[in-house]
Amino acid sequence: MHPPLLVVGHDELRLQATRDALHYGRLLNPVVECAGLEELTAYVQGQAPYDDRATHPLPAVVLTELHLDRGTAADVLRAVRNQLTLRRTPVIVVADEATEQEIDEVHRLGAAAFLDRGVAVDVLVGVIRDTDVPWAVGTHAALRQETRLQECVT
Amino acid sequence: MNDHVPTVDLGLDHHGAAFPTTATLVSAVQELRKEHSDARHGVVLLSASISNAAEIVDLLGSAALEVVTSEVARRTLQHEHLPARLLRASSLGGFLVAVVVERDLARAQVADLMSEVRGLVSAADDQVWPIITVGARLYEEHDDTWSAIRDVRTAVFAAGRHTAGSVLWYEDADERDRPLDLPVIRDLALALEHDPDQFQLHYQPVRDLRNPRLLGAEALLRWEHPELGRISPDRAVEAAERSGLIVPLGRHVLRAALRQTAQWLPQLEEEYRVHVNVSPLELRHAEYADHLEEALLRSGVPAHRVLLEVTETALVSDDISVHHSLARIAELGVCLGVDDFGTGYSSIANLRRMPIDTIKIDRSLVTGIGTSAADFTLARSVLQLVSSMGVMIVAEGIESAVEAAHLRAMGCQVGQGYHLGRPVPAVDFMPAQEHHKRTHTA
Repeated sequence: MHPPLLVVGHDELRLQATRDALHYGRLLNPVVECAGLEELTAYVQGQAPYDDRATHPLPAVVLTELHLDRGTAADVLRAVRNQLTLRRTPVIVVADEATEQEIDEVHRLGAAAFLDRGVAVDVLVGVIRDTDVPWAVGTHAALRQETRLQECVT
Repeated sequence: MNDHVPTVDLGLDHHGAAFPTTATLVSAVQELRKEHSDARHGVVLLSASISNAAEIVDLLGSAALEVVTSEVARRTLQHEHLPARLLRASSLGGFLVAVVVERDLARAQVADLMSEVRGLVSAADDQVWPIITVGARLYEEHDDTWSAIRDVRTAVFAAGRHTAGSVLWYEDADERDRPLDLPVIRDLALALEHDPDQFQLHYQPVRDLRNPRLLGAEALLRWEHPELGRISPDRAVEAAERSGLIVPLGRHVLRAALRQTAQWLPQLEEEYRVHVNVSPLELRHAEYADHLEEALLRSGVPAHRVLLEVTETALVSDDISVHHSLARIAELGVCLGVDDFGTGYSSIANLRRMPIDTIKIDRSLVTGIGTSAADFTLARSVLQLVSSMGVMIVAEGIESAVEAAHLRAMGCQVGQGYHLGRPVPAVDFMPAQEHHKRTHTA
Protein backbone atom coordinates (compact mmCIF):
# COMPACT_ATOMS: atom_id res chain seq x y z
CA MET A 1 0.00 0.00 0.00
CA HIS A 2 1.27 3.43 -0.84
CA PRO A 3 1.77 5.84 2.03
CA PRO A 4 -0.91 8.55 2.12
CA LEU A 5 -0.83 12.21 1.27
CA LEU A 6 -1.91 14.00 4.39
CA VAL A 7 -3.98 17.06 3.61
CA VAL A 8 -4.45 19.58 6.40
CA GLY A 9 -7.27 22.07 6.01
CA HIS A 10 -10.77 22.89 7.03
CA ASP A 11 -12.42 23.84 3.76
CA GLU A 12 -14.27 20.86 2.28
CA LEU A 13 -14.41 22.34 -1.25
CA ARG A 14 -10.69 22.89 -1.30
CA LEU A 15 -10.06 19.42 0.03
CA GLN A 16 -12.21 18.01 -2.74
CA ALA A 17 -10.30 20.05 -5.33
CA THR A 18 -7.06 18.64 -3.96
CA ARG A 19 -8.41 15.09 -4.05
CA ASP A 20 -9.50 15.64 -7.64
CA ALA A 21 -6.12 17.06 -8.60
CA LEU A 22 -4.31 14.07 -7.17
CA HIS A 23 -6.76 11.73 -8.87
CA TYR A 24 -6.38 13.40 -12.28
CA GLY A 25 -2.64 13.50 -11.73
CA ARG A 26 -2.85 9.71 -11.48
CA LEU A 27 -1.33 9.52 -8.05
CA LEU A 28 -2.19 6.22 -6.41
CA ASN A 29 -1.49 7.36 -2.90
CA PRO A 30 -4.57 7.57 -0.73
CA VAL A 31 -5.54 11.01 0.55
CA VAL A 32 -5.99 11.37 4.27
CA GLU A 33 -7.56 14.51 5.61
CA CYS A 34 -6.96 16.30 8.89
CA ALA A 35 -9.27 19.23 9.56
CA GLY A 36 -6.83 21.07 11.78
CA LEU A 37 -3.62 21.19 13.72
CA GLU A 38 -4.79 19.03 16.63
CA GLU A 39 -5.90 16.23 14.34
CA LEU A 40 -2.65 16.45 12.38
CA THR A 41 -0.62 16.29 15.58
CA ALA A 42 -2.53 13.24 16.74
CA TYR A 43 -2.03 11.56 13.37
CA VAL A 44 1.71 12.09 13.13
CA GLN A 45 2.23 11.15 16.76
CA GLY A 46 0.17 8.00 16.35
CA GLN A 47 -2.34 8.96 19.01
CA ALA A 48 -5.92 7.69 19.08
CA PRO A 49 -7.80 7.41 16.86
CA TYR A 50 -4.69 7.11 14.65
CA ASP A 51 -2.71 4.74 16.82
CA ASP A 52 -2.80 1.83 14.40
CA ARG A 53 -0.03 2.41 11.84
CA ALA A 54 -1.32 -0.41 9.70
CA THR A 55 -4.48 1.55 8.97
CA HIS A 56 -2.94 5.01 9.46
CA PRO A 57 0.53 4.82 7.92
CA LEU A 58 2.91 7.73 8.06
CA PRO A 59 2.41 10.14 5.17
CA ALA A 60 4.64 10.43 2.10
CA VAL A 61 3.76 14.09 1.67
CA VAL A 62 1.95 16.64 3.83
CA LEU A 63 -0.11 19.33 2.16
CA THR A 64 -1.32 22.13 4.36
CA GLU A 65 -3.16 25.40 4.22
CA LEU A 66 -1.07 28.35 5.38
CA HIS A 67 -3.85 29.66 7.57
CA LEU A 68 -5.78 27.14 9.63
CA ASP A 69 -8.66 27.72 12.01
CA ARG A 70 -6.29 27.34 14.91
CA GLY A 71 -2.69 27.72 13.93
CA THR A 72 -0.71 28.08 10.76
CA ALA A 73 1.41 26.02 8.39
CA ALA A 74 4.37 26.90 10.60
CA ASP A 75 2.73 24.93 13.42
CA VAL A 76 2.10 22.03 11.06
CA LEU A 77 5.75 22.08 10.03
CA ARG A 78 6.89 22.05 13.65
CA ALA A 79 4.56 19.18 14.47
CA VAL A 80 5.77 17.16 11.50
CA ARG A 81 9.45 17.92 12.04
CA ASN A 82 9.16 16.94 15.71
CA GLN A 83 8.66 13.38 14.54
CA LEU A 84 12.05 11.89 13.82
CA THR A 85 10.66 9.65 11.11
CA LEU A 86 9.05 12.61 9.35
CA ARG A 87 12.09 14.90 9.35
CA ARG A 88 12.47 14.55 5.59
CA THR A 89 8.82 14.29 4.63
CA PRO A 90 7.98 17.03 2.15
CA VAL A 91 5.48 19.59 3.42
CA ILE A 92 3.78 21.71 0.80
CA VAL A 93 2.03 24.90 1.86
CA VAL A 94 -0.88 26.44 -0.03
CA ALA A 95 -2.37 29.88 0.54
CA ASP A 96 -4.73 32.43 -0.93
CA GLU A 97 -2.45 35.17 0.18
CA ALA A 98 0.71 35.39 2.20
CA THR A 99 3.20 37.97 3.30
CA GLU A 100 6.85 37.67 2.42
CA GLN A 101 7.55 36.97 6.08
CA GLU A 102 5.08 34.09 6.18
CA ILE A 103 6.58 32.56 3.06
CA ASP A 104 10.09 32.99 4.47
CA GLU A 105 9.03 31.40 7.74
CA VAL A 106 7.57 28.24 6.21
CA HIS A 107 10.65 27.86 4.05
CA ARG A 108 12.90 28.32 7.07
CA LEU A 109 10.95 25.63 8.85
CA GLY A 110 11.60 23.29 5.96
CA ALA A 111 8.59 23.53 3.67
CA ALA A 112 9.36 21.79 0.38
CA ALA A 113 7.24 24.26 -1.52
CA PHE A 114 4.90 27.19 -1.12
CA LEU A 115 2.15 27.49 -3.72
CA ASP A 116 -0.40 30.17 -4.36
CA ARG A 117 -3.86 28.65 -4.42
CA GLY A 118 -4.47 30.11 -7.88
CA VAL A 119 -2.03 27.64 -9.38
CA ALA A 120 -1.83 24.97 -6.67
CA VAL A 121 -4.46 22.53 -7.87
CA ASP A 122 -3.11 22.47 -11.41
CA VAL A 123 0.56 22.15 -10.55
CA LEU A 124 0.37 20.17 -7.34
CA VAL A 125 1.10 16.75 -8.75
CA GLY A 126 4.13 18.03 -10.66
CA VAL A 127 5.50 19.69 -7.55
CA ILE A 128 4.92 16.55 -5.49
CA ARG A 129 6.79 14.56 -8.11
CA ASP A 130 9.65 17.06 -7.87
CA THR A 131 10.03 16.43 -4.15
CA ASP A 132 12.53 13.88 -3.01
CA VAL A 133 10.06 11.08 -2.43
CA PRO A 134 9.53 9.44 -5.80
CA TRP A 135 9.72 6.07 -4.10
CA ALA A 136 6.75 6.98 -2.00
CA VAL A 137 4.36 8.33 -4.58
CA GLY A 138 2.95 5.99 -7.15
CA THR A 139 1.18 6.50 -10.42
CA HIS A 140 -1.12 4.29 -12.42
CA ALA A 141 1.53 4.13 -15.13
CA ALA A 142 4.14 2.99 -12.62
CA LEU A 143 1.71 0.42 -11.28
CA ARG A 144 1.08 -0.95 -14.77
CA GLN A 145 4.83 -1.18 -15.33
CA GLU A 146 5.30 -3.01 -12.06
CA THR A 147 2.56 -5.45 -13.00
CA ARG A 148 4.14 -6.07 -16.41
CA LEU A 149 7.51 -6.69 -14.79
CA GLN A 150 5.98 -9.15 -12.37
CA GLU A 151 4.26 -10.92 -15.25
CA CYS A 152 7.58 -11.18 -17.07
CA VAL A 153 9.30 -12.58 -14.00
CA THR A 154 6.60 -15.14 -13.36
CA MET B 1 -14.97 56.53 -53.31
CA ASN B 2 -13.45 58.52 -56.11
CA ASP B 3 -12.02 56.15 -58.69
CA HIS B 4 -10.53 58.91 -60.74
CA VAL B 5 -7.40 59.77 -58.92
CA PRO B 6 -5.33 61.59 -61.49
CA THR B 7 -2.21 59.78 -62.57
CA VAL B 8 0.81 61.39 -64.12
CA ASP B 9 2.78 60.85 -67.26
CA LEU B 10 4.83 57.71 -66.86
CA GLY B 11 7.74 58.86 -68.93
CA LEU B 12 10.73 58.76 -66.69
CA ASP B 13 12.57 61.99 -66.87
CA HIS B 14 16.11 62.30 -65.53
CA HIS B 15 15.23 65.69 -64.18
CA GLY B 16 12.10 64.46 -62.56
CA ALA B 17 9.98 66.90 -64.57
CA ALA B 18 7.09 64.46 -64.76
CA PHE B 19 6.77 64.17 -61.00
CA PRO B 20 6.12 66.53 -58.17
CA THR B 21 9.19 68.51 -57.24
CA THR B 22 10.54 68.28 -53.72
CA ALA B 23 8.60 71.39 -52.85
CA THR B 24 5.33 70.08 -54.19
CA LEU B 25 5.72 66.48 -53.11
CA VAL B 26 4.50 67.17 -49.61
CA SER B 27 1.45 69.06 -50.77
CA ALA B 28 0.67 66.37 -53.36
CA VAL B 29 0.74 63.65 -50.72
CA GLN B 30 -1.24 65.71 -48.27
CA GLU B 31 -3.83 66.53 -50.90
CA LEU B 32 -4.25 62.87 -51.68
CA ARG B 33 -4.67 62.06 -48.03
CA LYS B 34 -7.24 64.79 -47.62
CA GLU B 35 -9.25 63.58 -50.59
CA HIS B 36 -9.18 59.88 -49.93
CA SER B 37 -8.56 59.19 -46.28
CA ASP B 38 -11.67 58.48 -44.23
CA ALA B 39 -12.92 55.90 -41.74
CA ARG B 40 -13.03 53.20 -44.39
CA HIS B 41 -10.21 54.17 -46.70
CA GLY B 42 -6.64 55.08 -46.14
CA VAL B 43 -3.62 56.12 -48.17
CA VAL B 44 -0.67 53.76 -48.26
CA LEU B 45 2.74 54.95 -49.36
CA LEU B 46 4.67 52.37 -51.32
CA SER B 47 8.34 52.73 -52.04
CA ALA B 48 9.32 50.22 -54.70
CA SER B 49 12.77 49.28 -55.79
CA ILE B 50 13.94 47.07 -58.64
CA SER B 51 16.39 44.98 -56.65
CA ASN B 52 18.11 43.55 -59.71
CA ALA B 53 18.55 47.00 -61.29
CA ALA B 54 22.34 46.71 -61.38
CA GLU B 55 22.18 43.41 -63.24
CA ILE B 56 19.65 44.79 -65.71
CA VAL B 57 21.91 47.74 -66.44
CA ASP B 58 24.97 45.52 -66.76
CA LEU B 59 23.29 43.16 -69.20
CA LEU B 60 20.91 45.38 -71.14
CA GLY B 61 21.92 48.96 -70.46
CA SER B 62 20.43 51.82 -68.50
CA ALA B 63 17.70 52.46 -71.08
CA ALA B 64 16.36 48.97 -70.41
CA LEU B 65 16.18 49.72 -66.70
CA GLU B 66 14.14 52.83 -67.44
CA VAL B 67 11.77 50.79 -69.56
CA VAL B 68 11.43 48.18 -66.82
CA THR B 69 10.86 50.79 -64.13
CA SER B 70 8.30 52.60 -66.25
CA GLU B 71 6.44 49.42 -66.96
CA VAL B 72 6.35 48.36 -63.32
CA ALA B 73 5.15 51.82 -62.30
CA ARG B 74 2.53 51.78 -65.06
CA ARG B 75 1.16 48.45 -63.88
CA THR B 76 1.00 49.80 -60.36
CA LEU B 77 -0.90 52.88 -61.40
CA GLN B 78 -3.29 51.12 -63.70
CA HIS B 79 -4.56 48.61 -61.22
CA GLU B 80 -8.22 47.98 -61.81
CA HIS B 81 -9.47 48.68 -58.29
CA LEU B 82 -6.82 50.62 -56.43
CA PRO B 83 -6.47 54.29 -57.31
CA ALA B 84 -2.86 55.37 -57.16
CA ARG B 85 -0.66 58.34 -57.80
CA LEU B 86 2.98 58.27 -58.75
CA LEU B 87 4.96 60.66 -56.59
CA ARG B 88 8.54 60.06 -57.54
CA ALA B 89 10.53 57.83 -59.85
CA SER B 90 14.19 57.27 -60.29
CA SER B 91 16.11 56.22 -63.33
CA LEU B 92 18.06 53.98 -60.97
CA GLY B 93 15.07 51.68 -60.67
CA GLY B 94 12.69 52.84 -58.00
CA PHE B 95 9.53 54.82 -57.45
CA LEU B 96 7.29 56.17 -54.75
CA VAL B 97 3.57 55.78 -55.13
CA ALA B 98 0.50 56.52 -53.02
CA VAL B 99 -2.33 54.00 -53.20
CA VAL B 100 -5.82 54.30 -51.77
CA VAL B 101 -6.88 51.11 -50.01
CA GLU B 102 -9.61 49.89 -47.73
CA ARG B 103 -8.21 50.09 -44.23
CA ASP B 104 -9.36 46.62 -43.15
CA LEU B 105 -7.91 45.06 -46.26
CA ALA B 106 -4.81 47.21 -46.63
CA ARG B 107 -2.23 44.44 -46.43
CA ALA B 108 -4.17 42.04 -48.62
CA GLN B 109 -4.85 44.71 -51.22
CA VAL B 110 -1.22 45.78 -51.37
CA ALA B 111 -0.18 42.14 -51.66
CA ASP B 112 -2.69 41.63 -54.50
CA LEU B 113 -1.49 44.77 -56.22
CA MET B 114 2.11 43.68 -56.15
CA SER B 115 1.34 40.16 -57.28
CA GLU B 116 -0.39 41.65 -60.33
CA VAL B 117 2.48 44.06 -60.97
CA ARG B 118 5.10 41.35 -60.94
CA GLY B 119 5.76 39.80 -64.30
CA LEU B 120 8.15 39.71 -67.21
CA VAL B 121 8.86 43.00 -68.93
CA SER B 122 10.02 43.36 -72.52
CA ALA B 123 13.07 45.55 -72.77
CA ALA B 124 16.00 45.82 -75.18
CA ASP B 125 14.70 42.96 -77.30
CA ASP B 126 14.73 40.70 -74.32
CA GLN B 127 12.53 39.65 -71.43
CA VAL B 128 13.38 40.82 -67.96
CA TRP B 129 12.03 39.60 -64.63
CA PRO B 130 12.21 42.62 -62.32
CA ILE B 131 12.68 41.76 -58.66
CA ILE B 132 10.34 44.30 -57.08
CA THR B 133 10.99 45.00 -53.44
CA VAL B 134 8.49 47.19 -51.65
CA GLY B 135 8.29 49.12 -48.41
CA ALA B 136 4.81 50.09 -47.25
CA ARG B 137 3.29 52.35 -44.65
CA LEU B 138 -0.17 53.67 -43.96
CA TYR B 139 -0.11 57.45 -44.17
CA GLU B 140 -2.50 58.76 -41.51
CA GLU B 141 -3.93 62.18 -40.96
CA HIS B 142 -1.68 63.02 -38.03
CA ASP B 143 1.48 61.71 -39.69
CA ASP B 144 4.31 64.03 -40.59
CA THR B 145 4.74 63.65 -44.34
CA TRP B 146 8.52 63.57 -44.45
CA SER B 147 8.63 61.08 -41.62
CA ALA B 148 6.20 58.87 -43.48
CA ILE B 149 8.29 59.05 -46.65
CA ARG B 150 11.46 58.37 -44.65
CA ASP B 151 9.78 55.38 -42.97
CA VAL B 152 8.66 53.83 -46.19
CA ARG B 153 12.16 54.21 -47.62
CA THR B 154 13.56 52.61 -44.48
CA ALA B 155 11.17 49.71 -45.00
CA VAL B 156 12.18 49.17 -48.62
CA PHE B 157 15.87 49.19 -47.73
CA ALA B 158 15.21 46.73 -44.92
CA ALA B 159 13.19 44.49 -47.22
CA GLY B 160 16.01 44.61 -49.76
CA ARG B 161 18.54 43.57 -47.15
CA HIS B 162 16.50 40.68 -45.82
CA THR B 163 14.17 39.41 -48.54
CA ALA B 164 14.49 41.03 -51.93
CA GLY B 165 11.25 40.79 -53.86
CA SER B 166 9.03 41.04 -50.78
CA VAL B 167 6.69 43.66 -49.35
CA LEU B 168 7.71 44.90 -45.92
CA TRP B 169 5.46 47.12 -43.85
CA TYR B 170 7.33 49.70 -41.88
CA GLU B 171 5.88 48.59 -38.56
CA ASP B 172 7.24 45.09 -39.20
CA ALA B 173 10.76 46.33 -39.92
CA ASP B 174 13.34 45.31 -37.38
CA GLU B 175 14.46 48.00 -34.96
CA ARG B 176 17.90 47.68 -36.44
CA ASP B 177 16.60 48.72 -39.81
CA ARG B 178 15.32 52.02 -38.46
CA PRO B 179 17.32 55.15 -39.18
CA LEU B 180 20.41 55.76 -37.09
CA ASP B 181 19.95 57.84 -33.97
CA LEU B 182 22.67 60.26 -35.07
CA PRO B 183 22.47 62.77 -32.19
CA VAL B 184 22.68 59.98 -29.62
CA ILE B 185 25.61 58.39 -31.44
CA ARG B 186 27.41 61.74 -31.52
CA ASP B 187 26.84 62.29 -27.80
CA LEU B 188 27.87 58.73 -27.03
CA ALA B 189 31.15 59.24 -28.86
CA LEU B 190 31.73 62.56 -27.13
CA ALA B 191 31.03 61.07 -23.71
CA LEU B 192 33.32 58.10 -24.29
CA GLU B 193 36.12 60.37 -25.41
CA HIS B 194 35.78 63.35 -23.09
CA ASP B 195 33.44 62.58 -20.21
CA PRO B 196 33.15 58.86 -19.43
CA ASP B 197 31.72 59.71 -16.02
CA GLN B 198 28.41 60.14 -17.80
CA PHE B 199 28.34 56.34 -17.77
CA GLN B 200 27.68 54.80 -14.40
CA LEU B 201 27.18 51.22 -13.41
CA HIS B 202 24.34 50.17 -11.19
CA TYR B 203 24.44 46.78 -9.55
CA GLN B 204 21.54 44.39 -9.11
CA PRO B 205 22.00 41.49 -6.70
CA VAL B 206 21.78 37.85 -7.72
CA ARG B 207 20.64 35.80 -4.76
CA ASP B 208 20.18 32.32 -3.49
CA LEU B 209 16.42 31.82 -3.34
CA ARG B 210 16.72 29.62 -0.28
CA ASN B 211 18.51 32.09 1.98
CA PRO B 212 19.75 35.67 1.94
CA ARG B 213 23.11 34.75 0.46
CA LEU B 214 24.45 37.12 -2.16
CA LEU B 215 25.80 35.13 -5.09
CA GLY B 216 26.64 37.96 -7.41
CA ALA B 217 25.57 41.21 -8.98
CA GLU B 218 24.85 42.23 -12.52
CA ALA B 219 26.52 45.45 -13.62
CA LEU B 220 23.97 47.51 -15.52
CA LEU B 221 24.86 50.52 -17.63
CA ARG B 222 23.26 53.87 -16.84
CA TRP B 223 23.93 56.89 -19.03
CA GLU B 224 23.24 60.30 -17.57
CA HIS B 225 23.19 62.67 -20.52
CA PRO B 226 24.09 66.21 -19.40
CA GLU B 227 21.08 67.70 -21.23
CA LEU B 228 18.66 64.89 -21.91
CA GLY B 229 18.94 63.22 -18.52
CA ARG B 230 18.95 59.44 -18.34
CA ILE B 231 19.06 57.72 -21.71
CA SER B 232 17.45 54.29 -21.62
CA PRO B 233 20.02 51.48 -21.63
CA ASP B 234 18.32 49.86 -24.63
CA ARG B 235 18.62 53.05 -26.67
CA ALA B 236 22.22 53.61 -25.62
CA VAL B 237 23.30 50.04 -26.36
CA GLU B 238 21.43 49.98 -29.67
CA ALA B 239 23.11 53.23 -30.74
CA ALA B 240 26.47 51.86 -29.61
CA GLU B 241 25.99 48.59 -31.49
CA ARG B 242 24.90 50.27 -34.68
CA SER B 243 27.77 52.73 -34.64
CA GLY B 244 30.61 50.45 -33.61
CA LEU B 245 30.95 52.37 -30.35
CA ILE B 246 29.93 49.22 -28.50
CA VAL B 247 33.57 48.14 -28.44
CA PRO B 248 34.94 51.14 -26.48
CA LEU B 249 31.74 51.27 -24.42
CA GLY B 250 32.01 47.57 -23.58
CA ARG B 251 35.63 47.99 -22.54
CA HIS B 252 34.70 50.92 -20.34
CA VAL B 253 31.95 48.91 -18.66
CA LEU B 254 34.16 45.87 -18.15
CA ARG B 255 37.00 47.88 -16.60
CA ALA B 256 34.65 49.81 -14.33
CA ALA B 257 32.88 46.64 -13.17
CA LEU B 258 36.18 44.88 -12.43
CA ARG B 259 37.58 47.91 -10.63
CA GLN B 260 34.51 48.02 -8.41
CA THR B 261 34.52 44.28 -7.82
CA ALA B 262 38.17 44.43 -6.75
CA GLN B 263 37.19 46.93 -4.07
CA TRP B 264 34.33 44.79 -2.80
CA LEU B 265 35.99 41.38 -2.97
CA PRO B 266 37.41 41.34 0.58
CA GLN B 267 33.89 41.77 1.94
CA LEU B 268 32.25 39.21 -0.32
CA GLU B 269 31.79 35.49 -0.06
CA GLU B 270 33.72 33.11 -2.26
CA GLU B 271 30.80 32.34 -4.56
CA TYR B 272 30.20 35.99 -5.50
CA ARG B 273 30.59 36.77 -9.20
CA VAL B 274 30.17 40.00 -11.07
CA HIS B 275 27.92 39.63 -14.12
CA VAL B 276 28.87 41.79 -17.09
CA ASN B 277 26.89 41.93 -20.33
CA VAL B 278 28.79 41.46 -23.55
CA SER B 279 27.50 42.31 -26.99
CA PRO B 280 27.95 39.74 -29.72
CA LEU B 281 29.54 42.53 -31.73
CA GLU B 282 32.32 42.79 -29.15
CA LEU B 283 32.96 39.08 -29.45
CA ARG B 284 33.52 39.44 -33.18
CA HIS B 285 36.68 41.39 -32.43
CA ALA B 286 39.57 38.98 -32.28
CA GLU B 287 41.27 41.04 -29.57
CA TYR B 288 38.30 40.92 -27.18
CA ALA B 289 39.77 38.13 -25.05
CA ASP B 290 43.13 39.93 -24.90
CA HIS B 291 41.45 43.02 -23.53
CA LEU B 292 39.55 40.89 -21.05
CA GLU B 293 42.77 39.28 -19.86
CA GLU B 294 44.45 42.64 -19.50
CA ALA B 295 41.48 44.05 -17.57
CA LEU B 296 41.54 41.07 -15.21
CA LEU B 297 45.27 41.47 -14.58
CA ARG B 298 44.94 45.18 -14.05
CA SER B 299 42.06 44.83 -11.56
CA GLY B 300 43.37 41.78 -9.73
CA VAL B 301 39.94 40.12 -9.88
CA PRO B 302 40.28 36.35 -10.31
CA ALA B 303 38.83 35.15 -13.60
CA HIS B 304 36.34 32.79 -11.94
CA ARG B 305 34.72 35.73 -10.17
CA VAL B 306 33.56 37.13 -13.49
CA LEU B 307 30.53 35.94 -15.45
CA LEU B 308 30.13 37.33 -18.94
CA GLU B 309 26.51 37.31 -20.05
CA VAL B 310 25.95 36.70 -23.73
CA THR B 311 22.62 36.44 -25.52
CA GLU B 312 21.45 33.20 -27.07
CA THR B 313 21.72 34.80 -30.50
CA ALA B 314 25.44 35.38 -30.02
CA LEU B 315 25.99 31.80 -28.97
CA VAL B 316 24.28 30.33 -31.99
CA SER B 317 26.15 32.67 -34.32
CA ASP B 318 27.96 31.08 -37.22
CA ASP B 319 30.63 33.74 -36.94
CA ILE B 320 33.90 31.92 -36.38
CA SER B 321 35.43 34.94 -34.63
CA VAL B 322 32.67 34.78 -32.00
CA HIS B 323 33.45 31.14 -31.34
CA HIS B 324 37.16 31.90 -31.03
CA SER B 325 36.42 34.62 -28.50
CA LEU B 326 34.14 32.31 -26.49
CA ALA B 327 36.80 29.60 -26.43
CA ARG B 328 39.48 32.05 -25.32
CA ILE B 329 37.22 33.45 -22.60
CA ALA B 330 36.68 29.92 -21.28
CA GLU B 331 40.44 29.28 -21.40
CA LEU B 332 41.00 32.33 -19.25
CA GLY B 333 38.73 30.77 -16.63
CA VAL B 334 36.07 33.44 -16.97
CA CYS B 335 32.53 32.08 -16.63
CA LEU B 336 30.10 32.37 -19.50
CA GLY B 337 26.37 32.73 -19.09
CA VAL B 338 23.44 32.77 -21.49
CA ASP B 339 21.34 35.87 -20.95
CA ASP B 340 17.59 36.16 -21.61
CA PHE B 341 17.23 32.42 -22.22
CA GLY B 342 13.85 31.62 -23.69
CA THR B 343 13.61 34.64 -25.97
CA GLY B 344 15.94 33.43 -28.70
CA TYR B 345 16.07 30.31 -30.75
CA SER B 346 19.00 28.34 -29.45
CA SER B 347 18.58 24.64 -28.94
CA ILE B 348 19.69 22.75 -25.88
CA ALA B 349 21.87 20.64 -28.16
CA ASN B 350 23.63 23.79 -29.35
CA LEU B 351 24.11 25.11 -25.84
CA ARG B 352 25.58 21.84 -24.66
CA ARG B 353 28.47 22.38 -27.04
CA MET B 354 29.20 25.81 -25.61
CA PRO B 355 31.52 26.42 -22.66
CA ILE B 356 28.72 27.90 -20.54
CA ASP B 357 28.11 27.40 -16.86
CA THR B 358 25.08 29.60 -16.22
CA ILE B 359 21.74 30.13 -17.92
CA LYS B 360 19.60 33.12 -17.04
CA ILE B 361 15.93 32.43 -17.65
CA ASP B 362 14.31 35.47 -19.21
CA ARG B 363 11.80 37.47 -17.21
CA SER B 364 9.09 36.75 -19.76
CA LEU B 365 9.08 33.15 -18.56
CA VAL B 366 8.90 34.23 -14.93
CA THR B 367 6.16 36.83 -15.21
CA GLY B 368 2.89 35.09 -14.53
CA ILE B 369 4.15 32.07 -12.62
CA GLY B 370 2.68 33.52 -9.42
CA THR B 371 -0.86 33.53 -10.76
CA SER B 372 -1.11 31.32 -13.81
CA ALA B 373 -0.90 27.54 -13.70
CA ALA B 374 -0.11 27.50 -17.44
CA ASP B 375 2.81 29.91 -16.97
CA PHE B 376 3.97 27.92 -13.95
CA THR B 377 3.92 24.71 -15.95
CA LEU B 378 5.76 26.27 -18.90
CA ALA B 379 8.48 27.72 -16.67
CA ARG B 380 8.81 24.40 -14.85
CA SER B 381 9.22 22.55 -18.13
CA VAL B 382 11.90 24.97 -19.30
CA LEU B 383 13.73 24.67 -16.00
CA GLN B 384 13.63 20.89 -16.14
CA LEU B 385 14.99 20.98 -19.67
CA VAL B 386 17.79 23.35 -18.79
CA SER B 387 18.65 21.62 -15.53
CA SER B 388 19.62 18.56 -17.55
CA MET B 389 22.65 20.57 -18.72
CA GLY B 390 24.10 20.74 -15.25
CA VAL B 391 24.53 24.51 -15.29
CA MET B 392 23.58 27.12 -12.74
CA ILE B 393 20.10 28.46 -13.49
CA VAL B 394 19.26 32.04 -12.59
CA ALA B 395 15.67 33.23 -12.91
CA GLU B 396 15.41 36.87 -13.93
CA GLY B 397 12.64 39.36 -13.27
CA ILE B 398 11.39 38.02 -9.94
CA GLU B 399 9.03 40.67 -8.63
CA SER B 400 7.19 39.02 -5.75
CA ALA B 401 7.68 36.62 -2.87
CA VAL B 402 5.18 34.23 -4.47
CA GLU B 403 7.15 34.15 -7.74
CA ALA B 404 10.31 33.43 -5.75
CA ALA B 405 8.52 30.69 -3.82
CA HIS B 406 7.14 29.13 -6.97
CA LEU B 407 10.58 29.11 -8.55
CA ARG B 408 11.88 27.32 -5.49
CA ALA B 409 9.05 24.84 -5.82
CA MET B 410 10.26 24.18 -9.38
CA GLY B 411 13.78 23.56 -8.14
CA CYS B 412 15.28 26.89 -9.20
CA GLN B 413 17.74 28.05 -6.59
CA VAL B 414 19.09 31.36 -7.81
CA GLY B 415 17.27 34.50 -8.82
CA GLN B 416 17.40 38.15 -9.67
CA GLY B 417 14.70 40.81 -9.77
CA TYR B 418 13.13 43.72 -7.98
CA HIS B 419 11.84 41.44 -5.21
CA LEU B 420 15.39 40.38 -4.41
CA GLY B 421 16.94 43.79 -4.89
CA ARG B 422 16.72 46.67 -7.33
CA PRO B 423 19.74 47.91 -9.25
CA VAL B 424 21.49 50.58 -7.19
CA PRO B 425 24.57 52.76 -7.68
CA ALA B 426 27.82 51.21 -6.51
CA VAL B 427 27.93 53.43 -3.46
CA ASP B 428 24.60 52.07 -2.21
CA PHE B 429 25.17 48.43 -3.09
CA MET B 430 26.96 47.08 -0.03
CA PRO B 431 24.73 48.92 2.50
CA ALA B 432 21.68 47.53 0.66
CA GLN B 433 23.07 44.00 0.98
CA GLU B 434 23.64 44.45 4.71
CA HIS B 435 20.09 45.67 5.09
CA HIS B 436 18.71 42.72 3.13
CA LYS B 437 20.70 40.27 5.22
CA ARG B 438 19.43 41.79 8.46
CA THR B 439 15.80 41.77 7.39
CA HIS B 440 15.86 38.25 5.98
CA THR B 441 17.72 36.44 8.72
CA ALA B 442 15.66 34.91 11.46
